[in-house]
Amino acid sequence: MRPLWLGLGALLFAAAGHAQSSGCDALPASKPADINALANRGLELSRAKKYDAAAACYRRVLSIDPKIPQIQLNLGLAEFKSGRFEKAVEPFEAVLKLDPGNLQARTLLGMSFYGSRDFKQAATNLEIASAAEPGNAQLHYYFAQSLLASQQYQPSLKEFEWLAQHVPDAASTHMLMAQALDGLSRPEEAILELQKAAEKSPNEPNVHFAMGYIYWSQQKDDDAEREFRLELDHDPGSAQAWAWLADVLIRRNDFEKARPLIEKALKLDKTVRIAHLDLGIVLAEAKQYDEAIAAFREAIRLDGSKTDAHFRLARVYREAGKPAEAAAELAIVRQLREQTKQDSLQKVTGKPAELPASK
Amino acid sequence: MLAAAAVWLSAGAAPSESPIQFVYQPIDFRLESCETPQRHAPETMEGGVAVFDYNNDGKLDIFFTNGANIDTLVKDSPKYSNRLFENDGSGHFRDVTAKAGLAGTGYDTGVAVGDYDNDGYEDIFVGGVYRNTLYHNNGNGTFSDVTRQAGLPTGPDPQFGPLWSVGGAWVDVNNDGLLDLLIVNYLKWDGKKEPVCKDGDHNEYCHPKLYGATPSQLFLNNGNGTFTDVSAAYGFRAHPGKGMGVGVADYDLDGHMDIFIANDKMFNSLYHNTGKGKFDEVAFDANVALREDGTYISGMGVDFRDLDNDGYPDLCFVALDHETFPIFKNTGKGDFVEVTTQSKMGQMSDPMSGYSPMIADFDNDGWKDIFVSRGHVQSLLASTHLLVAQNNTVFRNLGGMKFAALTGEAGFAAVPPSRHRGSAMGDFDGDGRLDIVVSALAAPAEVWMNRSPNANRWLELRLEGTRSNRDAIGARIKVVSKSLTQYNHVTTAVGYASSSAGPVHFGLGPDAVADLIEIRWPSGTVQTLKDVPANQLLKVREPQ
Repeated sequence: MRPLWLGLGALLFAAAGHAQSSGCDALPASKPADINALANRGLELSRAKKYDAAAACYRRVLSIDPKIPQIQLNLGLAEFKSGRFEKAVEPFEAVLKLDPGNLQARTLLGMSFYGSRDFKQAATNLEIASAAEPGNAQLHYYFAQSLLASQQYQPSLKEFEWLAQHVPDAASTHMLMAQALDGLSRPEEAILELQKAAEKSPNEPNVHFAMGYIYWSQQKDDDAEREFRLELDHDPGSAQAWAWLADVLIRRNDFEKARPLIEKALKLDKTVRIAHLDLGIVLAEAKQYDEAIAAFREAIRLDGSKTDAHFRLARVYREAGKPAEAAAELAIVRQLREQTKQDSLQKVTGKPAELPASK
Repeated sequence: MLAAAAVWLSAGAAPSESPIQFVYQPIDFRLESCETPQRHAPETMEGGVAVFDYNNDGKLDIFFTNGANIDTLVKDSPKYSNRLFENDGSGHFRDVTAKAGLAGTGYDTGVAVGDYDNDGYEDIFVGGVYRNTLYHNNGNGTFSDVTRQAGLPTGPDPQFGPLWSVGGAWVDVNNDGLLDLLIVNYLKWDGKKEPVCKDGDHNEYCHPKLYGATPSQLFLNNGNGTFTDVSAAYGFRAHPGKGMGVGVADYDLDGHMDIFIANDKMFNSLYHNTGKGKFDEVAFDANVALREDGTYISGMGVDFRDLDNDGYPDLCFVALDHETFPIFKNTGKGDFVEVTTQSKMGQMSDPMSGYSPMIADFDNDGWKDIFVSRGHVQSLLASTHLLVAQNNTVFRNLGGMKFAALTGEAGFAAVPPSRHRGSAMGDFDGDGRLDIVVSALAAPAEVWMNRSPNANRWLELRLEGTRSNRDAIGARIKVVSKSLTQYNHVTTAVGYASSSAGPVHFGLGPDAVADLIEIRWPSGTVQTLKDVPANQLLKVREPQ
C-alpha cells in the first residue's frame, strides 16, 4: 500500500528537460544579466539530477538578488531532492516570507520538516497545505503521519479517519489509526483497526505483530502469542516478531523455549533491543552471569534510556557478587526514573514513512 | 435515597454461580476531601478506614478518617468529621463519634489500630497532613488525644519540614511486649507551592516526582505511655520515600517483624529487622524494589501475607492502570519472585486502578483471596480519557498462585463506580464470612456484607498476648485440617491507610475440625491446640 502515498515528491518535481553536465562556476555573476544564465544552468543541472551543482548555481543567483522567490524555491527543491531536508527549510521559509500564500513552498516546507524528522513543524505546515487542498489524500496522509509522530494522537486520528473514508482500500491507514488509538490508550479500538487492516490486506507486514504487541502490552499473553505466530507465518524474517514471541515465553518462565527464538531474532537483526534484554534474562536464569552481563550491556548500548536493562544488569551484578557495579546500575535506574515512559506501539513499530529517495 | 439504593441492588444482584458474593449495605458516611480546582495533592489521597472493637463488646465497629478545609487544614464543618460507628452485631451501625470524642480537628488521612498500653482496649493512631493524633481508648466508650504527652511530634520535622502521614502500623519491633509505632509519610507537600498540572482546560493531580520524598518514622514504646523517636537509629531516616502503604510480616521467619513500604513512583522499601535494634533496607536484594521489568509504579496500599499456604508471607500491592497489581511470591530463601503475570493478575489488573488490597479468605475455601478497592487518583474530569470511577474487585485464589477476577460477579456492580480509597474487613454479623467496608472520595462509603453461597467452614482466632503485646501483633498461626495446611499472622496494617483489627480468620473448606493449631507468639512461646471444632471464634490467651 505504501506506494500510494509516495507520489507526492514526484508530482512536485514533474518538470523535465535536457541534461547539461557542466557546472556554473565558469559563468559570470557580476551583473543582473548573468542571473538568467545561472538560473537556467541550475535548472538544467537539476533536471540532470545534479542537485549539488544546481544548488550552487541558485546560491550564486541569490548572492546577487536574494529576493527572487522562484530561485529560492528552486534552491529548496534541489536541497530537498538531494535529501538534505534541513538545508531545504531555509529557502522554503524565504519563499514564504516573500510570498506567504505560496502553497507549493508551504507544502515543501512541511515535507522538509517531515524529512528532517521535525514532525511538530511538519504538522504545522502540512495542516495549512492540506486545508488549502482538502481533497489531496497524500497531503492528508503526511499531515496525519506528522501528527502521529509528534504524539498528537487525537488530531492524527481525525485525519486517519478522513483517509479511511476517502481511500478505503488502504490497510496502512488502519494500521496507523491503530497506532494513534494505542497512543490514546484505547487498545481495544486499536485492535479493531488492525483487524480491519488484516481483512483488507491479509499479508500486510506487521499487522499481526502490532496486534500481538498491543495484546502483550495488556498482558494478554495467549492472544499476543497467537498474533506473533501469525506474523511469523506471513513473514518468518520478522526479527521483532521472533523477539516478542520469546518475551511472551519468558513471561511464562519458559526460558528454554525462549532462547532459540531470541537467537533467531538476533540472527535476523542484531539491533532488536528486547532480544538482547531477554537473552540476558535467559542467561541470568542459567547463572551464566558474564554472558548475561554482556547481553544486558548490549541492550543498554542500543538504548540506554530504559530502566529495565539497567535494573536487570544490577540484579545480575548482585548475583555475580559485584555489589559496587550493582549499586552503580541502580543509581542509573534512579536517574532515569523521572524520564522513562512506557513504549507505545508507535515507538516499537511505527516509523513514519520515509520520504521518497531522489538520489 | 432508599429507592435509589434498591434500584442499584436489583440491577447489580450477584449471579448465583459466583463463589464469592457481597451485598451492598449503605452506611451514613461520605468522604469529604475538599476537592478544589487547584487539585492539591492531599485531596485525592484520603480515606483511611479501621475495623476494630472499640468497646470490647465482641462486635467489630468502623472508624472513618475524613478531610478538612484544604486551605486551613482545619475541620471547619461537620462534614469533615472523622466518624466512629458502633456495630449492633447484625452489621448495622450507629454513629457514636461525638460520645467517643473522635471527630478530630485536622486533615486526616490514615488510621492504625493497636493497644499500645496493653490495657485491653484498642487505641487509634490517626495520620494526617502536617498533624498526627494518638487517641487513647479510655475503656468507657471515649478516647483522649494523648499525642503530646506520648511524646509524638506535634510540629514540623527539623529536616523535612511539616510531614504528611498516610497512616502507619503498630508492630513490636524489639519483641519487648510493647507495640511500637511506625508512621508512614508520603511526600513533601506545601499547599502554597502546589505545582500546576494541566489536563486540557483543567488542573489534575500532579505526578509524585514534582514533590520531595520524606522518611518514615519509628517510635519505640517506652512502656509508660510515651514513645521515643528511633527513626535514625533503626535505619528509617536514611531512606526517604513516598510511602503509601505498609505491610508488616516476618518474611524470613527469624522471629522479628519486617516492614514493607510501597512507595509512589519510587523504589519500594523492605526493612529487614535484624533483631539488634536496627532495620536493613533490603528491597533491592529481595527483588521487591521495583517490578521485575525495572519500572516504577504508583505503589498504593499493601498487604503482606501468605497467599500460597507455604508458610512464607507474600506481597501484594496495587497501583494505577497499566501498572498492574504486582504479586511477589516469597521464595523462602530471603527474597521474592514476581508472579504477577503467571498468576494472571497482570492481565486482569492491567486496566484497573487500585488503592487498598486486602488478602483474606472471603469464600472460606482455605485459600486467601485479594480484595482491591478501586479508583483512579485523578479527578472525575479526567474521565474523558481515564477510567476514574471504578467498581471494586475481589481476586479469587484458585490455588497454585492463580487468581480470577470477580467484580460484577461478586456483586460489586450493585452501586455506581466510585473513586474508592481505604478499606478494612472483619465479620460484622458473626456469620463466619468476612465483610468489607470501603471509603470513596466525595461519595458514600460502602459496607459489603459477605453472602458467599457455600457451606465452607471457618475459624476465627482472637489472640491475647501476656508476655507478648496484648494484641499479639506478630504472632504466626498455622492451622492444619484434613484438606490443607495454612498460615496467617496477626497484623492490623492492611490495605491503604487503613487498619483491620478483627480476629485472624481462616476458611477451612469442608473440614469440620482443625486438627492442629500452632501459634508462635512474638515472645517466642509456641502454643499448640488440637482438634478444634470449626465455625467458632476462639479466644486464645498466651501461656504465662
